[in-house]
Amino acid sequence: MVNESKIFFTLLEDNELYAMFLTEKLKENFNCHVTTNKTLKEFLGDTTFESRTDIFIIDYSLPGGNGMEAIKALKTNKIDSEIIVLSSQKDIQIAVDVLKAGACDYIVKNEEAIERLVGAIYKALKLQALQKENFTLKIKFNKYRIFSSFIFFILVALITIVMFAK
Amino acid sequence: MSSFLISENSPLRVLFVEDNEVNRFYIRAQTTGFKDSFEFSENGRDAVAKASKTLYDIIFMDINLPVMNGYEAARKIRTLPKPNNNIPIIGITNDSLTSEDIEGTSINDFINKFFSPEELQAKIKLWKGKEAQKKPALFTSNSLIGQIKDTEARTKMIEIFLRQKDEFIKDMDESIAQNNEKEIFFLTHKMKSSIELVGIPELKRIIEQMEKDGKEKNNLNLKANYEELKRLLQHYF
Repeated sequence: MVNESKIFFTLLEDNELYAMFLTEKLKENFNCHVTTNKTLKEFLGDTTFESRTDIFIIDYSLPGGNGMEAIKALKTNKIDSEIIVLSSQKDIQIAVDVLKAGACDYIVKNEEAIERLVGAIYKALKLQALQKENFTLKIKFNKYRIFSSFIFFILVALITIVMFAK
Repeated sequence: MSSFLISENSPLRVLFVEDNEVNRFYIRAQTTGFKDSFEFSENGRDAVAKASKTLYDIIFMDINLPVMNGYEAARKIRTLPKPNNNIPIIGITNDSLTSEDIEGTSINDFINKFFSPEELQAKIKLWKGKEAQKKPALFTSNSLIGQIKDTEARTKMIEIFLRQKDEFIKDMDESIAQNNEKEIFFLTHKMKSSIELVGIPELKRIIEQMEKDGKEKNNLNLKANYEELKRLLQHYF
Protein backbone atom coordinates (compact mmCIF):
# COMPACT_ATOMS: atom_id res chain seq x y z
CA MET A 1 0.00 0.00 0.00
CA VAL A 2 2.73 2.42 1.04
CA ASN A 3 4.91 1.88 -1.99
CA GLU A 4 2.15 2.28 -4.52
CA SER A 5 2.06 6.06 -4.50
CA LYS A 6 3.77 8.96 -2.81
CA ILE A 7 2.42 10.07 0.52
CA PHE A 8 2.17 13.81 0.96
CA PHE A 9 3.12 15.06 4.42
CA THR A 10 2.78 18.62 5.61
CA LEU A 11 4.78 19.55 8.68
CA LEU A 12 4.13 22.46 10.96
CA GLU A 13 7.30 22.71 13.03
CA ASP A 14 9.11 25.88 14.07
CA ASN A 15 12.28 24.10 15.18
CA GLU A 16 14.34 23.92 12.00
CA LEU A 17 16.48 21.09 13.33
CA TYR A 18 13.55 18.93 14.37
CA ALA A 19 11.77 19.64 11.07
CA MET A 20 14.80 18.44 9.16
CA PHE A 21 15.12 15.40 11.39
CA LEU A 22 11.46 14.51 10.82
CA THR A 23 11.79 15.04 7.07
CA GLU A 24 14.80 12.72 6.88
CA LYS A 25 13.13 10.07 9.00
CA LEU A 26 9.92 10.23 6.97
CA LYS A 27 11.95 9.84 3.78
CA GLU A 28 13.78 6.86 5.28
CA ASN A 29 10.50 5.18 6.14
CA PHE A 30 8.09 6.16 3.36
CA ASN A 31 7.98 7.00 -0.30
CA CYS A 32 6.88 10.53 0.35
CA HIS A 33 6.94 14.21 -0.28
CA VAL A 34 7.35 16.52 2.72
CA THR A 35 6.37 20.18 2.88
CA THR A 36 7.42 22.17 5.95
CA ASN A 37 5.78 25.24 7.41
CA LYS A 38 7.65 27.02 10.17
CA THR A 39 4.95 29.30 11.48
CA LEU A 40 1.24 29.13 12.09
CA LYS A 41 0.80 32.07 9.74
CA GLU A 42 2.69 30.36 6.96
CA PHE A 43 0.71 27.19 7.59
CA LEU A 44 -2.69 28.87 7.59
CA GLY A 45 -1.76 30.86 4.50
CA ASP A 46 -0.66 27.80 2.55
CA THR A 47 -3.59 26.94 0.33
CA THR A 48 -1.81 24.39 -1.80
CA PHE A 49 -1.69 21.68 0.87
CA GLU A 50 -5.43 21.32 1.07
CA SER A 51 -5.89 19.10 -1.92
CA ARG A 52 -2.64 17.18 -1.58
CA THR A 53 -1.74 16.50 2.02
CA ASP A 54 -2.46 12.99 3.22
CA ILE A 55 -1.15 13.51 6.74
CA PHE A 56 -0.44 16.63 8.77
CA ILE A 57 2.27 16.47 11.43
CA ILE A 58 1.90 19.40 13.78
CA ASP A 59 4.13 20.54 16.60
CA TYR A 60 2.10 21.67 19.58
CA SER A 61 4.16 24.58 20.87
CA LEU A 62 4.61 27.24 18.22
CA PRO A 63 5.69 30.86 18.38
CA GLY A 64 2.69 33.05 19.02
CA GLY A 65 0.22 30.20 19.32
CA ASN A 66 -0.13 26.47 19.46
CA GLY A 67 -0.98 23.47 17.36
CA MET A 68 -4.60 23.56 18.48
CA GLU A 69 -5.22 26.59 16.26
CA ALA A 70 -3.87 24.69 13.28
CA ILE A 71 -6.16 21.71 14.00
CA LYS A 72 -9.17 23.99 14.36
CA ALA A 73 -8.34 25.76 11.10
CA LEU A 74 -8.09 22.44 9.28
CA LYS A 75 -11.37 21.23 10.73
CA THR A 76 -13.15 24.53 9.93
CA ASN A 77 -12.00 24.19 6.34
CA LYS A 78 -13.40 20.64 6.31
CA ILE A 79 -10.02 19.11 5.54
CA ASP A 80 -10.30 15.49 6.60
CA SER A 81 -6.66 14.42 6.18
CA GLU A 82 -5.32 12.79 9.33
CA ILE A 83 -3.53 14.98 11.88
CA ILE A 84 -0.74 13.81 14.18
CA VAL A 85 0.42 16.14 16.95
CA LEU A 86 3.98 16.15 18.27
CA SER A 87 4.97 17.83 21.49
CA SER A 88 7.99 18.19 23.72
CA GLN A 89 5.58 18.35 26.64
CA LYS A 90 4.35 15.22 28.31
CA ASP A 91 1.02 16.75 29.18
CA ILE A 92 -2.08 14.57 29.36
CA GLN A 93 -4.46 17.52 29.19
CA ILE A 94 -2.92 18.69 25.91
CA ALA A 95 -3.12 15.15 24.57
CA VAL A 96 -6.81 14.89 25.47
CA ASP A 97 -7.54 18.32 24.01
CA VAL A 98 -5.89 17.68 20.66
CA LEU A 99 -7.48 14.26 20.30
CA LYS A 100 -10.89 15.74 21.07
CA ALA A 101 -10.24 18.43 18.48
CA GLY A 102 -9.76 15.73 15.89
CA ALA A 103 -6.09 14.74 15.84
CA CYS A 104 -5.58 11.01 15.44
CA ASP A 105 -2.49 10.76 17.64
CA TYR A 106 -0.36 12.67 20.16
CA ILE A 107 3.33 11.85 20.30
CA VAL A 108 5.92 13.10 22.80
CA LYS A 109 9.26 14.09 21.29
CA ASN A 110 11.56 11.59 22.99
CA GLU A 111 13.82 8.77 21.84
CA GLU A 112 10.87 6.66 20.75
CA ALA A 113 9.10 9.49 18.92
CA ILE A 114 9.98 8.30 15.41
CA GLU A 115 9.02 4.71 16.09
CA ARG A 116 5.66 5.89 17.41
CA LEU A 117 5.22 8.38 14.58
CA VAL A 118 5.81 5.72 11.94
CA GLY A 119 3.27 3.51 13.69
CA ALA A 120 0.77 6.35 13.86
CA ILE A 121 1.26 7.08 10.15
CA TYR A 122 0.57 3.47 9.19
CA LYS A 123 -2.54 3.56 11.35
CA ALA A 124 -3.65 6.83 9.73
CA LEU A 125 -3.02 5.49 6.22
CA LYS A 126 -5.01 2.37 6.99
CA LEU A 127 -7.85 4.50 8.31
CA GLN A 128 -7.74 6.65 5.21
CA ALA A 129 -7.77 3.59 2.96
CA LEU A 130 -10.78 2.25 4.86
CA GLN A 131 -12.55 5.58 4.57
CA LYS A 132 -11.88 5.67 0.84
CA GLU A 133 -13.15 2.13 0.46
CA ASN A 134 -16.20 2.99 2.48
CA PHE A 135 -16.79 6.01 0.26
CA THR A 136 -16.52 4.05 -3.01
CA LEU A 137 -18.75 1.33 -1.63
CA LYS A 138 -21.34 3.91 -0.70
CA ILE A 139 -21.28 5.35 -4.23
CA LYS A 140 -21.55 1.88 -5.70
CA PHE A 141 -24.40 1.11 -3.35
CA ASN A 142 -26.21 4.32 -4.30
CA LYS A 143 -25.76 3.61 -8.00
CA TYR A 144 -27.16 0.15 -7.46
CA ARG A 145 -30.10 1.54 -5.52
CA ILE A 146 -30.93 4.05 -8.23
CA PHE A 147 -30.62 1.36 -10.84
CA SER A 148 -32.76 -1.09 -8.94
CA SER A 149 -35.50 1.46 -8.28
CA PHE A 150 -35.44 2.26 -11.96
CA ILE A 151 -35.88 -1.43 -12.86
CA PHE A 152 -38.63 -1.71 -10.28
CA PHE A 153 -40.42 1.31 -11.75
CA ILE A 154 -40.23 -0.11 -15.29
CA LEU A 155 -41.49 -3.44 -14.04
CA VAL A 156 -44.46 -1.81 -12.34
CA ALA A 157 -45.15 0.23 -15.49
CA LEU A 158 -45.01 -2.89 -17.65
CA ILE A 159 -47.35 -4.82 -15.38
CA THR A 160 -49.77 -1.90 -15.36
CA ILE A 161 -49.67 -1.66 -19.15
CA VAL A 162 -50.23 -5.41 -19.51
CA MET A 163 -53.13 -5.29 -17.03
CA PHE A 164 -54.76 -2.41 -18.92
CA ALA A 165 -54.19 -4.10 -22.25
CA LYS A 166 -56.11 -7.07 -20.96
CA MET B 1 57.00 -5.40 52.40
CA SER B 2 59.31 -2.72 51.06
CA SER B 3 57.50 0.34 49.84
CA PHE B 4 58.17 2.05 46.54
CA LEU B 5 56.94 4.86 44.34
CA ILE B 6 54.29 4.21 41.70
CA SER B 7 56.19 6.24 39.19
CA GLU B 8 59.96 6.00 39.70
CA ASN B 9 60.77 9.71 39.47
CA SER B 10 58.70 11.51 42.08
CA PRO B 11 55.94 10.77 44.57
CA LEU B 12 52.45 11.20 43.20
CA ARG B 13 49.52 12.91 44.90
CA VAL B 14 46.43 10.78 44.77
CA LEU B 15 43.00 11.69 46.10
CA PHE B 16 40.41 9.06 46.99
CA VAL B 17 36.84 10.24 47.36
CA GLU B 18 34.96 7.60 49.32
CA ASP B 19 32.25 8.04 51.94
CA ASN B 20 32.24 4.49 53.21
CA GLU B 21 34.63 3.97 56.11
CA VAL B 22 35.13 0.28 55.42
CA ASN B 23 36.07 1.02 51.83
CA ARG B 24 38.47 3.72 52.97
CA PHE B 25 40.06 1.17 55.27
CA TYR B 26 40.39 -1.25 52.35
CA ILE B 27 42.00 1.43 50.18
CA ARG B 28 44.47 2.31 52.92
CA ALA B 29 45.41 -1.35 53.21
CA GLN B 30 45.94 -1.67 49.46
CA THR B 31 48.11 1.43 49.27
CA THR B 32 50.50 0.82 52.18
CA GLY B 33 53.06 -0.56 49.74
CA PHE B 34 53.42 2.76 47.96
CA LYS B 35 55.41 5.75 49.18
CA ASP B 36 53.24 8.19 47.25
CA SER B 37 50.91 10.60 48.98
CA PHE B 38 47.32 9.42 49.38
CA GLU B 39 44.60 11.71 50.62
CA PHE B 40 40.96 11.06 51.38
CA SER B 41 37.77 12.99 50.98
CA GLU B 42 34.35 11.87 52.14
CA ASN B 43 32.00 13.74 49.83
CA GLY B 44 31.87 15.36 46.42
CA ARG B 45 31.85 18.95 47.55
CA ASP B 46 34.92 18.46 49.72
CA ALA B 47 36.66 16.70 46.82
CA VAL B 48 36.04 19.69 44.54
CA ALA B 49 37.40 22.04 47.22
CA LYS B 50 40.52 19.89 47.66
CA ALA B 51 41.07 19.58 43.90
CA SER B 52 40.87 23.34 43.54
CA LYS B 53 43.68 23.81 46.03
CA THR B 54 45.92 20.86 45.20
CA LEU B 55 47.05 19.69 41.79
CA TYR B 56 46.56 15.93 42.22
CA ASP B 57 48.01 13.55 39.70
CA ILE B 58 44.85 11.50 39.77
CA ILE B 59 41.52 11.29 41.62
CA PHE B 60 39.63 8.11 42.39
CA MET B 61 35.99 8.85 43.03
CA ASP B 62 33.07 6.84 44.27
CA ILE B 63 29.88 7.62 42.34
CA ASN B 64 27.23 7.52 45.07
CA LEU B 65 28.54 10.16 47.41
CA PRO B 66 26.70 12.27 49.94
CA VAL B 67 26.26 16.05 49.47
CA MET B 68 27.37 15.94 45.84
CA ASN B 69 27.57 12.78 43.76
CA GLY B 70 30.61 11.63 41.82
CA TYR B 71 29.42 12.76 38.39
CA GLU B 72 28.60 16.23 39.61
CA ALA B 73 31.84 16.58 41.53
CA ALA B 74 33.81 15.45 38.46
CA ARG B 75 31.97 17.98 36.33
CA LYS B 76 32.74 20.74 38.82
CA ILE B 77 36.41 19.77 38.80
CA ARG B 78 36.40 20.15 35.01
CA THR B 79 35.37 23.76 35.44
CA LEU B 80 38.27 24.62 37.78
CA PRO B 81 41.00 26.93 36.48
CA LYS B 82 43.79 25.24 34.53
CA PRO B 83 45.60 22.93 35.13
CA ASN B 84 43.41 21.50 37.94
CA ASN B 85 40.55 20.96 35.48
CA ASN B 86 42.66 18.34 33.74
CA ILE B 87 43.15 15.88 36.61
CA PRO B 88 42.21 12.35 35.50
CA ILE B 89 39.14 11.16 37.43
CA ILE B 90 38.58 7.44 37.85
CA GLY B 91 35.23 6.16 39.09
CA ILE B 92 35.25 3.58 41.86
CA THR B 93 32.59 0.97 41.17
CA ASN B 94 31.23 -2.35 42.29
CA ASP B 95 31.27 -3.66 38.71
CA SER B 96 27.95 -2.10 37.82
CA LEU B 97 29.47 0.76 35.84
CA THR B 98 30.02 0.33 32.10
CA SER B 99 31.83 2.53 29.61
CA GLU B 100 28.44 3.65 28.35
CA ASP B 101 27.58 5.03 31.78
CA ILE B 102 30.57 7.32 31.84
CA GLU B 103 30.18 8.43 28.25
CA GLY B 104 29.35 12.10 28.17
CA THR B 105 30.33 12.54 31.82
CA SER B 106 33.54 14.01 33.24
CA ILE B 107 34.72 10.66 34.57
CA ASN B 108 37.54 9.24 32.48
CA ASP B 109 37.66 5.60 33.47
CA PHE B 110 36.67 3.27 36.29
CA ILE B 111 38.20 0.76 38.65
CA ASN B 112 36.64 -2.02 40.70
CA LYS B 113 36.10 -1.18 44.36
CA PHE B 114 38.19 -4.18 45.39
CA PHE B 115 41.27 -3.35 43.36
CA SER B 116 44.67 -4.90 44.00
CA PRO B 117 47.77 -2.72 44.43
CA GLU B 118 48.88 -3.85 40.97
CA GLU B 119 45.57 -2.82 39.40
CA LEU B 120 45.78 0.54 41.10
CA GLN B 121 49.31 1.06 39.89
CA ALA B 122 48.37 0.09 36.34
CA LYS B 123 45.43 2.50 36.33
CA ILE B 124 47.56 5.34 37.63
CA LYS B 125 50.31 4.70 35.09
CA LEU B 126 47.70 4.58 32.35
CA TRP B 127 46.25 7.97 33.22
CA LYS B 128 49.11 9.96 34.74
CA GLY B 129 49.77 13.10 32.72
CA LYS B 130 47.11 12.22 30.15
CA GLU B 131 44.64 14.67 28.67
CA ALA B 132 41.65 14.16 30.96
CA GLN B 133 39.54 17.10 29.89
CA LYS B 134 37.46 15.13 27.47
CA LYS B 135 35.02 16.21 24.89
CA PRO B 136 32.66 13.36 24.20
CA ALA B 137 32.38 11.95 20.73
CA LEU B 138 29.47 13.97 19.45
CA PHE B 139 26.72 12.85 17.12
CA THR B 140 27.66 9.18 17.34
CA SER B 141 25.14 6.49 16.46
CA ASN B 142 23.86 6.85 20.02
CA SER B 143 22.31 10.16 19.07
CA LEU B 144 19.24 10.53 16.89
CA ILE B 145 21.12 12.87 14.56
CA GLY B 146 23.88 10.29 14.28
CA GLN B 147 21.31 7.76 13.07
CA ILE B 148 20.34 9.82 10.03
CA LYS B 149 21.54 7.87 7.01
CA ASP B 150 21.97 10.74 4.57
CA THR B 151 25.45 12.14 5.32
CA GLU B 152 24.76 15.51 3.77
CA ALA B 153 21.59 15.96 5.81
CA ARG B 154 23.43 14.89 8.94
CA THR B 155 26.15 17.50 8.42
CA LYS B 156 23.53 20.16 7.79
CA MET B 157 21.72 19.17 11.00
CA ILE B 158 24.90 19.53 13.03
CA GLU B 159 25.38 23.00 11.57
CA ILE B 160 21.81 23.92 12.44
CA PHE B 161 22.28 22.69 16.00
CA LEU B 162 25.42 24.77 16.49
CA ARG B 163 23.59 27.85 15.24
CA GLN B 164 20.54 27.06 17.41
CA LYS B 165 22.78 26.73 20.44
CA ASP B 166 24.17 30.25 19.94
CA GLU B 167 20.71 31.69 19.33
CA PHE B 168 19.33 29.90 22.37
CA ILE B 169 22.02 31.33 24.66
CA LYS B 170 21.54 34.84 23.27
CA ASP B 171 17.73 34.75 23.52
CA MET B 172 17.74 33.08 26.93
CA ASP B 173 20.18 35.62 28.38
CA GLU B 174 17.88 38.36 27.15
CA SER B 175 14.67 36.73 28.39
CA ILE B 176 16.17 36.00 31.79
CA ALA B 177 17.37 39.58 32.11
CA GLN B 178 13.85 40.78 31.29
CA ASN B 179 12.27 38.06 33.42
CA ASN B 180 10.07 37.11 30.46
CA GLU B 181 8.64 33.84 31.77
CA LYS B 182 6.59 33.09 28.68
CA GLU B 183 9.57 33.43 26.39
CA ILE B 184 11.81 31.43 28.74
CA PHE B 185 9.22 28.65 28.72
CA PHE B 186 8.99 28.71 24.93
CA LEU B 187 12.77 28.77 24.36
CA THR B 188 13.27 25.92 26.83
CA HIS B 189 10.76 23.76 24.99
CA LYS B 190 12.22 24.48 21.62
CA MET B 191 15.74 23.68 22.80
CA LYS B 192 14.52 20.55 24.57
CA SER B 193 13.49 18.91 21.31
CA SER B 194 16.85 19.79 19.75
CA ILE B 195 18.75 18.43 22.73
CA GLU B 196 16.71 15.25 22.42
CA LEU B 197 18.38 14.74 19.04
CA VAL B 198 21.92 15.33 20.24
CA GLY B 199 22.01 12.41 22.66
CA ILE B 200 24.02 13.79 25.59
CA PRO B 201 22.19 12.57 28.73
CA GLU B 202 23.69 15.30 30.88
CA LEU B 203 22.19 18.09 28.73
CA LYS B 204 18.86 16.33 28.59
CA ARG B 205 18.71 15.97 32.35
CA ILE B 206 19.37 19.66 32.90
CA ILE B 207 16.88 20.95 30.35
CA GLU B 208 14.21 18.65 31.79
CA GLN B 209 15.00 20.11 35.18
CA MET B 210 14.65 23.61 33.72
CA GLU B 211 11.25 22.69 32.33
CA LYS B 212 10.19 21.49 35.76
CA ASP B 213 11.55 24.64 37.42
CA GLY B 214 9.57 26.71 34.94
CA LYS B 215 6.35 24.87 35.72
CA GLU B 216 6.92 25.26 39.44
CA LYS B 217 7.87 28.92 38.95
CA ASN B 218 11.14 28.24 40.70
CA ASN B 219 13.07 31.02 38.97
CA LEU B 220 16.16 30.74 41.13
CA ASN B 221 16.67 27.07 40.27
CA LEU B 222 15.82 27.69 36.66
CA LYS B 223 18.49 30.34 36.40
CA ALA B 224 21.09 28.13 38.07
CA ASN B 225 20.22 25.21 35.81
CA TYR B 226 20.33 27.45 32.76
CA GLU B 227 23.80 28.69 33.70
CA GLU B 228 24.91 25.08 34.01
CA LEU B 229 23.38 24.18 30.65
CA LYS B 230 24.98 27.20 29.02
CA ARG B 231 28.37 26.26 30.39
CA LEU B 232 28.00 22.67 29.20
CA LEU B 233 26.79 23.69 25.75
CA GLN B 234 29.82 25.93 25.40
CA HIS B 235 32.03 23.16 26.73
CA TYR B 236 30.78 20.48 24.36
CA PHE B 237 30.24 22.47 21.19
